[in-house]
Amino acid sequence: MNKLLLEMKNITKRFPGVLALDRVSFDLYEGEVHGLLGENGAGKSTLIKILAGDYSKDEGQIIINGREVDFRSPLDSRLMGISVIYQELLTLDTLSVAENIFVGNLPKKRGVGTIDWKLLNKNAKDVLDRMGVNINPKRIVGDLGIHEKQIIEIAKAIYRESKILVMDEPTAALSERDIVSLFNIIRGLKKQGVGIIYISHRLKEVFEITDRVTVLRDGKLIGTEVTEDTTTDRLITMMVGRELKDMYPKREVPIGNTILEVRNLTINGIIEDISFDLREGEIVGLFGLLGSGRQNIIRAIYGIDKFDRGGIKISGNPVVINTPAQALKHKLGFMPLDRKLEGLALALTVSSNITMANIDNLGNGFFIDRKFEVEDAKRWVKDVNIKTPSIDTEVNSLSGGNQQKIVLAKLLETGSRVFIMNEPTRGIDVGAKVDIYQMMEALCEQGAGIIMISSELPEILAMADRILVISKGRITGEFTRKEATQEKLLQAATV
Amino acid sequence: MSDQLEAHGFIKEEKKLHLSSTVILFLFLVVMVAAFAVLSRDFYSIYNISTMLTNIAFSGIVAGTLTVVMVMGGLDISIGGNIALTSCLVAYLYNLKNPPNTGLIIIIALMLGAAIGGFNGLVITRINLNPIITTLGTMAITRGMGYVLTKSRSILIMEDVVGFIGRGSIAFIPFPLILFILIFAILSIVMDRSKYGRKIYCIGANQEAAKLSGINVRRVKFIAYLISGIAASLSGLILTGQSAVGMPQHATGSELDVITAVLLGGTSLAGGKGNILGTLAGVLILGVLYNGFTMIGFRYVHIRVFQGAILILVVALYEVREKKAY
Amino acid sequence: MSDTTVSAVREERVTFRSRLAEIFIYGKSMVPALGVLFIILVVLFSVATPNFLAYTNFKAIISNIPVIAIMSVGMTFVLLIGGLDISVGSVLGFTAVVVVMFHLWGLNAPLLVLCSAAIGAFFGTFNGLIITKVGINPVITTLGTMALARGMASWFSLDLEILKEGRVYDQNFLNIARYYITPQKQIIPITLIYIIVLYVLISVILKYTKYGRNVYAVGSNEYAARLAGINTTRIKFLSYVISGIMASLAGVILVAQLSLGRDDAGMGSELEVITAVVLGGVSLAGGKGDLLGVIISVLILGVIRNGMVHLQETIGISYYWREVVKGAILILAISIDAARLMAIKKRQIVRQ
Repeated sequence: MNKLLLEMKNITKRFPGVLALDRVSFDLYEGEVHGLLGENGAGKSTLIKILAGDYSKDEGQIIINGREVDFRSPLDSRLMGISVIYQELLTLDTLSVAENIFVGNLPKKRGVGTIDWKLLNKNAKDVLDRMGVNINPKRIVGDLGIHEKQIIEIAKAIYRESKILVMDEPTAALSERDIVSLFNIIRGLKKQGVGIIYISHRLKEVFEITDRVTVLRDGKLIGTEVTEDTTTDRLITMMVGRELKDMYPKREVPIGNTILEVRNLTINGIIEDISFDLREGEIVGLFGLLGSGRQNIIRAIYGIDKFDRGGIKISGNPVVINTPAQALKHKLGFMPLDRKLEGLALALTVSSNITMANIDNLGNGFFIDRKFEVEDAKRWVKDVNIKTPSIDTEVNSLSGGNQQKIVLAKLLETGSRVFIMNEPTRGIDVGAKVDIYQMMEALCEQGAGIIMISSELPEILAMADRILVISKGRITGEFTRKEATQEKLLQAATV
Repeated sequence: MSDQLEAHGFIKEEKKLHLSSTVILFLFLVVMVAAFAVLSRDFYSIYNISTMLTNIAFSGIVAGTLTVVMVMGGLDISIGGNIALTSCLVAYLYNLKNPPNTGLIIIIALMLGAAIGGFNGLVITRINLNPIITTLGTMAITRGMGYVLTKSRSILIMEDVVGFIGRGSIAFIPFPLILFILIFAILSIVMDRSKYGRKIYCIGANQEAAKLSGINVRRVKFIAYLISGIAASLSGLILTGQSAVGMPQHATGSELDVITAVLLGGTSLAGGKGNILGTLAGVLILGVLYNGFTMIGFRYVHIRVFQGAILILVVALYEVREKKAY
Repeated sequence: MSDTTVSAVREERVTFRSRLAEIFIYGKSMVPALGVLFIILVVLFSVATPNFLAYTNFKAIISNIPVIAIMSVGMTFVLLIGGLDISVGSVLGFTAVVVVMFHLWGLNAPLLVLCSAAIGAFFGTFNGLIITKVGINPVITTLGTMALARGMASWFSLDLEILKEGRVYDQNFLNIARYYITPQKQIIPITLIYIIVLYVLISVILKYTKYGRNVYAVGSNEYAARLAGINTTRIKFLSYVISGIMASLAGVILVAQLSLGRDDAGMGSELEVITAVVLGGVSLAGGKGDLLGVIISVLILGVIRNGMVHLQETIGISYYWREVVKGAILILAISIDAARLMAIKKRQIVRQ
């Protein structure tokens, strides 16, 4: 019988005006992977922040290895053997791999007390070898990719002999191959008796790697189930509180004329000869692994990055797009990958954000027509179902799903006809996802065309009319919705 | 979650905080003026008020344009050097064997300001440099050129030509003050209601998002530094007119005053927050404070010490308040 | 015939520019680039001016760099943790004034040095507390301290009129900066020894001690460093204290060299120090750089200053261009830093 590593009993946390957690209980055994699910705002990240020592709890107990503990700082939590691997990795990019793994605890030469660099590098190699990974410990971490950085974070946790490991959306930025590698490492950790709390929105992975799964909703514990014994529908119902049979719209929109033609788009050494069409009412999905070049393709189309060869035509006319402003003029809209960093000005109001890409058209001449702006903002708040107290609310007080909707509203305000949507439902709750899918459908009905980058196979298989698979900078497969299957897509993506 | 927040009026409370801070500043101003009027007999004289307002106008003009730069997320420490060089150039031109006429000299001075501001803007936007250190360098370059031009001596202006700008008045209102009011009114309208102003706020709040939204970040930033440079040389003209001297030591330490005024007015160093009205309050408060202290009997060196302390105090207060609200 | 020569020239220029970029921007360390720059400058100046390579000139250069060299060590600590300290020049000035003041009151040389270090520690502590405890932006904080210290320097020197012409006569004190190894032959100035010892010592600390490595960790990613158990507040705080102490010790050297301390001592030196450190490869972003590049950079700046004085004598370029050159080199230095950071980012942006 496995030992109980962690018990969180009746945890309650209040913020001004909000009850973030209401007597939530959660436990973790040795060698188990325990998934934590819930919509945004359900309380997952609050629970984890309390465990990590970033927040204090108002009521309840945390018991580790049978002893009750009280964290006053994140450091206390680390000292108790808890390691958290956040989405935004906390690596020291200017230092080497070895220094990262042993940060704060570099080995010293006996007697002299100075840093023993040789020993440091050797120890680092040992830890990495034990994980079955091959990374040169002297390399500067800033030069490595996300998967390797994650491995270093895990190595750090292993070195510290953390028994409780929290992983927050670990696969959000990983390729399928890296995910396989990560899951192997996780299985290895399980064998060593490490308990892992696995937070993810990707139900497919939850079913693959977790032993149990807990669902939170609105700050309350809805239930804890054994993964083997439950189903996707059940979990979604628990998360959303209602049956969601049809998450995805029917997608029966008539396809019209060609509105976008991309021909031979090439960035030397990165992408090569990318050519495809987009028609009115159509959603073209771009699928691929991390590092496939999809981001490069759309950034080139939207004018963010330069390209070496190729051309773009809009409605049959060749266009030159060198800046986002030019793209917008041609009615080409772009939803960025990271809404907080690239999509929104968190300190500004909802209406300011919605009109950010259309400022020059808010009235004639030098001044902004406030009436016009308010009208537009209110209209989009209604149409896109944005939940906000008012259009003058600061955007940083809204949830992730509503923030993404504001980004969408910003695109709609520009009157674009071609939309580039970059992982449009990443990191948002199921309810908001549905809203966005419906908006996409509505746009198609009005004759717009959408290029959608998605790494969620169920999503892209359901939403796209055609799927282009990109691998190593080239198009390696093209499938209609009827033909496409997960296996075919994955196979083309790993060519 | 946001519904719950709304239900408890949490978000609405935030707005109240912002409004009242500007009101508090103006209240403080009134209290200060009253206090100094009591403490010093000479404070309330027309001469003193006029001098004080002229000084306020002098630093206020640059404070206004600096507000635009700082809301955008940038900074311009070179204004002092700009002012000094402008005064040296003006004095130098006046003392040539065949000096150009006043109008031309004024235009040349403003063009100098534009050149300096334009240089700042170009270098910061094209090479992506840290604005603080860049303008530190420009400050050295401009002040240094002032030394080169004057060979480190002061150049007197014998005729009262540029004096009107510094010492003249229209209907008893000092000319610098008129310029100040005009410029502030324009800047206020630009920041609150114009498209350019909105772009400034967007860039300050999130530059990357602004860029992806099609805003020409480079051009907006460049223009901000440009007008900051022109405003500085305008201030330089006023100063030269007032003092009738062009010397490279002018306006040493003025950047401190101006930055303090802008920060006092509620502009955030991070960008995206702040307004011209707040800066007006800041400029007035500081102006009254320094003048009042001088009237009471403090000397220049004492005030210099105060300057540093006030800057830190002001920012500390805002910092503490931010933390409490969270 | 002329076509071939034109195209040959054009080809040469292209490779020269790209080679330049390779050395300065794409290299892992600035040291080779700086070494090359140093040699080029020495060659240029020795061609343009007579007596440049003479030993007396070498001594003149060395005597000009200790102040900047010492302050650069302090600034290195501050930049490594990702901060900035523009108050160093004013702390130096204040120290200079106080040294003269205390000397008039009869303190002997060792005590003067101790008091100066205490002053530097005081200002450094003030900066450190406000930046780490209150959480104010380092630029604004040190801007305020700069005004405070400079104001106090002027204040003190005003109230004690004699300070305007105050001189320090204590030979022991003056020898702090004026002593030579082998006093008769006057070969090696003691300030050179100070610099060598200081730089070697601090380099060892930065590379081989836990404290040193923690400084880099804090500059690289402060939150991650904190989670690893490093007391980031203390490390940041100490950096500012060290910067303050270095500034005040530099003030001691300056007064010992000139035998007088005026309230405008060190004005504008913060500019030179930042230039030296950034040019030396210590990144403004933090967590990167070492003292080897800094010392070469300090030497480069010293050579330029010395060269410009010579140029004034020979070609007649006004000495007042010095300030302009200072500012221009600063902008050049941070441009190189920015270019290097951008090159790293470009390398990281591969296929996505």
